[in-house]
Amino acid sequence: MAWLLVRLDDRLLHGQVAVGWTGALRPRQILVADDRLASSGWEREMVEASAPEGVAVRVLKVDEVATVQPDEQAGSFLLLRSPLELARLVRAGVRPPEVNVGGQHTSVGKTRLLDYIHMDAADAAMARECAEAGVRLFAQDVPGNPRLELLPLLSKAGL
Amino acid sequence: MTIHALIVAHGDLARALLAAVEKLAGPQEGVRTLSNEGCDMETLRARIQQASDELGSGPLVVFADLFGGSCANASTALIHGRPDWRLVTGVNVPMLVNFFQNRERLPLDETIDLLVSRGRDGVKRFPETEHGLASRPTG
Repeated sequence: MAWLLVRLDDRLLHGQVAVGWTGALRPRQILVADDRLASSGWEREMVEASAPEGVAVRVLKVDEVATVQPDEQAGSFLLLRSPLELARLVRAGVRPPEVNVGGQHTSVGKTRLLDYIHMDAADAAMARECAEAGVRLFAQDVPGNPRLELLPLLSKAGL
Repeated sequence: MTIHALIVAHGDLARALLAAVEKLAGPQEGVRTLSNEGCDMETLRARIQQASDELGSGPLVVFADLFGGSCANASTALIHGRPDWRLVTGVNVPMLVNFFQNRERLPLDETIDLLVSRGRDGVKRFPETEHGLASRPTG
């Protein structure tokens, strides 16, 4: 596995990724794996048009990630919406050694883990399933901020 | 040597702008923010001088919000005679992010050239103008 960065972020491609992580890690490509985005023409165009300078952006379905070859993974970011999409990849045999957990914003029934991470029991179950498959999850919103293991944060939040 | 930054602007803009940039690019060091609130020109110059003293010696970029405004004017006066100080006006988010991401790896004037270009590139309009569309290749 050679992804430059695999990140869970419900805003997908936004400032922290396009500016913060892109500036720090300089990817040549950003793959946005999201079924909803991939099936909406105009939303997809908007995302692809907001590509940072010098970076190719491609929107694809979550199931299509398993077909991305190692040479394309090298130097690429992979963006996923939530632990659910990551668990789908893990079940399909895609197991990045490390996953960055970014914005998981609050909604009804979610518990705060950090200011930028909120999860419910289903999210926690998916995250633990990925961890058991050998994927290490680390919370970090932007480069330069602390990088924290996700599982202890889940336990601390009672999830 | 790390290039220091001083953001000088009206109201609470400088502090808010840095907070926004840190949300995107992470926490930054070697930067101070200043407001011109309640300052005559002499006081404003003194504040800028004090903030630059606190940052320490070495290259400094002063970012001001408005060309021709007091923040920029006070900085122009101070920059005179300091070979490693620069002033950039019209400070915005893409410009500052670009500065913080490049200041360790580029010399002073190249850093400035790049951030000015990125600051301008961040201004776009949608939908594009008739002229913009007409000037693009078709097919």
